[in-house]
Amino acid sequence: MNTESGKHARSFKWRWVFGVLTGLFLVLGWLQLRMDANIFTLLPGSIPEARGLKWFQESFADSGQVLLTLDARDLQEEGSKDKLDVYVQSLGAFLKTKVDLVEEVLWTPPWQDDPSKMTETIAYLWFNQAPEIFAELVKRLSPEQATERFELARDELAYSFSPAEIGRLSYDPLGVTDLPDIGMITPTVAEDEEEVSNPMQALMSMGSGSSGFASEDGRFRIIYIQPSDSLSDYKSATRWWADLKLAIDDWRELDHAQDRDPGFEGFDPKLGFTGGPIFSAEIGSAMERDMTFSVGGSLLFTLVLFKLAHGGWRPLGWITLCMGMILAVTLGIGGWIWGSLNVVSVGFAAILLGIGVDYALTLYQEAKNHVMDEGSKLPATTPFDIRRMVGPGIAWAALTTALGFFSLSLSHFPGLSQLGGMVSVGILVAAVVMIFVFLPLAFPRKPKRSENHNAESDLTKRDSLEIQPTQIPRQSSPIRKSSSGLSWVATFVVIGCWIFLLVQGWPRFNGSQEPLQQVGSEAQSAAEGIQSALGSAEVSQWMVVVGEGLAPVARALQSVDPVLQNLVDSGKIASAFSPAAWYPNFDFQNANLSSALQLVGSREELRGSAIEAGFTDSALGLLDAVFKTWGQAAESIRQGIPFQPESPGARWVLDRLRSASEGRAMALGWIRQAAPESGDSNGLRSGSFWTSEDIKEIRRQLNASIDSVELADFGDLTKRPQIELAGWESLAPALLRALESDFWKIAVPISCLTLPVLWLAFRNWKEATLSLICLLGGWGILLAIMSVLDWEWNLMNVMAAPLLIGLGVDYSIHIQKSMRRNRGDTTAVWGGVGKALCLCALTTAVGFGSLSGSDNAGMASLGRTCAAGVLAIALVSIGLCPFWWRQWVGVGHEEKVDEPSALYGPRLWRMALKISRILPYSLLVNTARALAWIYAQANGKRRQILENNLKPIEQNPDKRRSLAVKTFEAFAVKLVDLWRFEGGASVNEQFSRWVGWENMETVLIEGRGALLVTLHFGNWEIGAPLLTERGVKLNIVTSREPGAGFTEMRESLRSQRGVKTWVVGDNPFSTVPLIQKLQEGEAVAALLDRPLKHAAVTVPFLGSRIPVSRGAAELARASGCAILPVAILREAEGYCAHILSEVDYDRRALGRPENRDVLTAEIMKRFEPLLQSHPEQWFHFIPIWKEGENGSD
Amino acid sequence: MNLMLKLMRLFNRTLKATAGMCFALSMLSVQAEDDQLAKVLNLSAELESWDADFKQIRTLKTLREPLVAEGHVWYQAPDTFLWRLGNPARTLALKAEPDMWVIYPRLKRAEKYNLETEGPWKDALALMEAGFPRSRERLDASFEWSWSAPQDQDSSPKGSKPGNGIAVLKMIPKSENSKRWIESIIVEFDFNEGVLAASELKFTDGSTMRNEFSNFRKNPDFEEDWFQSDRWVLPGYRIARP
Repeated sequence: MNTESGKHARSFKWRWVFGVLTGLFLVLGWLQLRMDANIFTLLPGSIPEARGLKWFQESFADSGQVLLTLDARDLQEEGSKDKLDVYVQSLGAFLKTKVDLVEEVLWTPPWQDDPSKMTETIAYLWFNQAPEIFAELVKRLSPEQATERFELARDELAYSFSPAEIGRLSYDPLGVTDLPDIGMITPTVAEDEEEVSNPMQALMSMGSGSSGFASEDGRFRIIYIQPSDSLSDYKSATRWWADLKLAIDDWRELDHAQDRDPGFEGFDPKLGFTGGPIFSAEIGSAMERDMTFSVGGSLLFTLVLFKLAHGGWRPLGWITLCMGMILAVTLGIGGWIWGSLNVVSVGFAAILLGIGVDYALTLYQEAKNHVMDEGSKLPATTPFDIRRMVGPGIAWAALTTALGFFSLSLSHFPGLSQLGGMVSVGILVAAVVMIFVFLPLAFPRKPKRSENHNAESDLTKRDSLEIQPTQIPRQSSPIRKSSSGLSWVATFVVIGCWIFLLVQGWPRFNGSQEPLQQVGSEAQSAAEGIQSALGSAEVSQWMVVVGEGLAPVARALQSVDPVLQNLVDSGKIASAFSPAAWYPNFDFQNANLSSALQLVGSREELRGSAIEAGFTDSALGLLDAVFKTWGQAAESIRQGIPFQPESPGARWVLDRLRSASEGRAMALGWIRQAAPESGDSNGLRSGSFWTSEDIKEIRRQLNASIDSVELADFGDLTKRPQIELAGWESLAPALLRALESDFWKIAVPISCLTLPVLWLAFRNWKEATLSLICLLGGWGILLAIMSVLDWEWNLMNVMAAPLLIGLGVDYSIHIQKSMRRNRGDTTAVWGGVGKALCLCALTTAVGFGSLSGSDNAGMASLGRTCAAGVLAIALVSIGLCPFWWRQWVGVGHEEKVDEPSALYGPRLWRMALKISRILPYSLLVNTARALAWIYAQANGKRRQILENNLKPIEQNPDKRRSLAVKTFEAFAVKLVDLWRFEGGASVNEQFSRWVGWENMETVLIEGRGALLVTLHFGNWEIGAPLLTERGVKLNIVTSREPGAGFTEMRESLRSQRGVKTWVVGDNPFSTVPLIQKLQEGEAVAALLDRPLKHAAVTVPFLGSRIPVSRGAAELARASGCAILPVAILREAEGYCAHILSEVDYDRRALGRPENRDVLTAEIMKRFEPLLQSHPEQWFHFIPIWKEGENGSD
Repeated sequence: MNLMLKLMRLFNRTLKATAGMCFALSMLSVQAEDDQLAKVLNLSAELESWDADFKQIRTLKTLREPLVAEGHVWYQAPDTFLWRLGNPARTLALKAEPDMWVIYPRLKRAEKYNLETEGPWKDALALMEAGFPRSRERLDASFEWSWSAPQDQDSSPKGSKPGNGIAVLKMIPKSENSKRWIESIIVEFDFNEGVLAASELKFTDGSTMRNEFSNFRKNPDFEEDWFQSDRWVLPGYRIARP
């Protein structure tokens, strides 16, 4: 008693420890979980186009800035451009005062108010040039040439009409702003045309003018806002955005231009917000809404459905609690595995709720069928019993569904991949929670009634009902004529759907990236507004150069420039921009340093020449600023750091051309192809005429130029920099290619999994095929619905295909299994499993359907398609499958549990023999034990049979279950030993001792034949070599083994050990040779407890009645042999051979059959003590007790 | 340098102011409340074409002395003109939609600007259109304007004085952007002769650009190809498209 109490206390303690550790694990997981509101994380990183676009967006596109757009294009009034100027100026100035909200506000290029801010940039651009180019400037500014250049400038100032020229010469008479090439690559001009390179103009328009702050007509403006906070998460971004809107409202009220000038009456440009923080706020909030509303909505619907179907508030409460627990645990695990949820994977919750509640419904339905009738005399069923009945089915269903979802993890698309992973984890969690938490909560164990009042008897009755096929009504109920007619009509409707599709056509496929975007997104709308107002009419690809540091990227850019020029000249691209001139190049700067400082030293000499030519001091203002910058650059170079300008104007430009983060340096350029007048679609977006192959070829050429550079020239690097081309135009076809690859990667495994699962489920090709037909029928309805409602397949909802296959197969399996159990009684099937599956399908559809309200277009379409698909497949599987099953499969395919396992066959046996020769013994034993444990947990029916067989030995259900599992494990070890023995290992390795050898010895000395009888108890096979080694001539009697050649194989293996095998069957003369052998004094070994029908006799055993073979008594009568009960049992020190004392009999009395039965019973009785002491080695995996008599009654 | 861009644009606007004014003279057709504005509108209605000599005085802050150049201008309604600077021509400016040509005969070089695309010339024309509206309302919307005496009577043609037939229209832009570089635009009309007397752009840095017209001819007939670029851009010229 004390020991039991101690064990209980220890178990309780360990449960607490486990609980606390689990809780800690989950809390840490939650803490790690983040909402990833970055839409670009949805793009597959393995696709170059997507990778480039992600780099571009995350590193260059001002991910931290907010763009406030002001659109007056729809306002037709006069002077709207000027009014917008005033409006923007006023609003920008107001926002600038909100220092708690903004760090910087820009509505014009930083240098527009004071172009001198660009002087640092000009100085930098010269200083960053190749030394030979910088030498040209040095020559131009030398005092020798300066006088002449001043005179020329003065003359040009008098006669030039060019405003740019006059402006430039006034303040730059020496031509410092005659910049070298700053990256614009255009075609080499024709002979009769002069190339007018105007780098200064290009510089001034870089990031400004029409391309940065305003449209060409000036009626669309952008204000760039740098938030004062980093806005690292979507919540802070949402709050900040709301505050910004309030500030703008304040401005409208307090300082609106309307108050100052009546001319602004009614002038109200449309405001828009976009940029990283706005996208983050929108997407993050949408994710939160999805989590809240879709999850809340589907949970509410599910609960209402449950209430309507089953009533009762208490189970509703427990379901809600369990669903919360499932979500919490899944989120905790998700936090550890993925760390963040993205806009797609956040949809896991709704799907999980839809599927997870299925398990609760199934459990509840089954439990209700068995125990809910409180008014009846049936005793209450414990959660343990229900779990035992339904648990394995749920576990298998969860495993297959989880595998289906897990296959999505193979997708290129991170959102889908993560969604699949989260749902698959969640489903497994759901199965465990529902089986082990919900069930005991919803059906608490009844008080001692069942235990006090003949509990085992009651339980046994129920168990008999559950496991004995004979207890299930064998007569199938006829389908009513009306429902039969309806089923035929429905069948034709399903066929009609396919005909409709063949005639009308399949639903269209939309290959654009639109499904990745948010629906009704304000940020997206504003971004599109910018594109339409400021966007170029040309098709562009961003060129992102990525390397492991500044120097390698700079070096790579130098090698890329000539290739770009060639591509432009050959017409493959219209123009290009290379950031080489801008990208900090330490080598060049270091080489130019001494010349620059020499020029700085000649400043006074230059001033004298200027005065002499009629210029004032202010004409040298630009030159002074350039000299000052070079002085600063010298400091930087001396410290070994490449010089980079810091003025706002320079940073504005440079921040858009270079980036560095996480040890990665990047440079940004672009290539551009003029769009044709009328676009002919050829794989890219309509209007584009670059094919994806073109882009691939350009990328190849650019990267080839880098590859041609010696790796050593990049410094201490393991890999060269690389170039990616990125653009929305080329993304769509790239995504399509990825999708195609995904489809095969996912569809093939799903199909490969589905077919074996179907075969394993049915072991019958007709039923497996019927499952596939149900699937096809459901798909036909879904596709027809899509076609009629004009739904399209897209990048996201196409992934519904594998999901629907995985989910859909479940329904038909459940239904057909139920048809088997109910012998084709459709009423029983629909009233039981059918009803539960209906609820399951509805809840799953609601789970998916709730996603149709998602702000993410792809998630919405995925949810919609899955919801419709689940309902369609459920309709066919639940409504029509029973009808088809009766028509085609028919009654007679009930589940067979009284046959040996299908795993017991020649092929696996041979394989096991080979493996046992290779692997170490300890590894084999431990693996076999683990597999046996899994098998015991997974195959509930087989375990149930074993438990039933053990009832006479162990009455306590919990202990009996534990004993059954131990038996599986012991059997696994026995098999390992047997395989090793049959594989050639010496039996003495495992053998420890004989018990009762003297009994055998006596018989041998007397020269009598010995009939060694045993049961499926211990490792009887290895007893044979032990006897032959001691000189006993042994014959073994056996039945024919299952599977072709298996009997012969085992016979051959035994003969190698000197053992003769005799296969007995229905032939009455098959025992004649055995009688002879016994009469000759040899030994014959036989198993009694697996009798052939014609030789069976039911005898008392362990308080019950068991059919056994009367063969031993028959042989004794015929030969007069000695009968010795034997058993080879595994004990602590090894195998022990037990030879029990001889069973005495009167040979003459055996002439009467009843006496032979008495002898048989006597033999069996000898085994009872050994069985009581080693019950875990009694290996019967098929029902052994006479029907209805399993020892208890 | 801080005024480089301003000057770059202002010069353009100065140049365009004159041509734009003529454009306004020829195009303004609405009723004006102001008598003098009505006179301008009437005057414009009578002018289909004109030409005149001019003296251009550029007073730049970076030069100690003003730069003076002489030239001739030809105008054809509604918006075609040719400016010749220097005699013989050092520079020609020809506007014939949709292009703007700047030609350097001595260098045998020509620059061709497309006015339909973004650029300094486009900006200049846009500003001028705002400066010379077709209606009183438009003028009011874009400028604070007034009639006043010439600030420097000595520099006026023929020493014109107020009340002497010379009217001076002074316009100050309302737009914040324009105010950044233009302080004012002054146009002087000789109502006695019915001609444009002078135009001047004053920049915020104090620089000015003034054109004084003489030998004004009303509605002359020009040769048919006078405003054709082929007439001025001769074979062998190098053409640039900035």
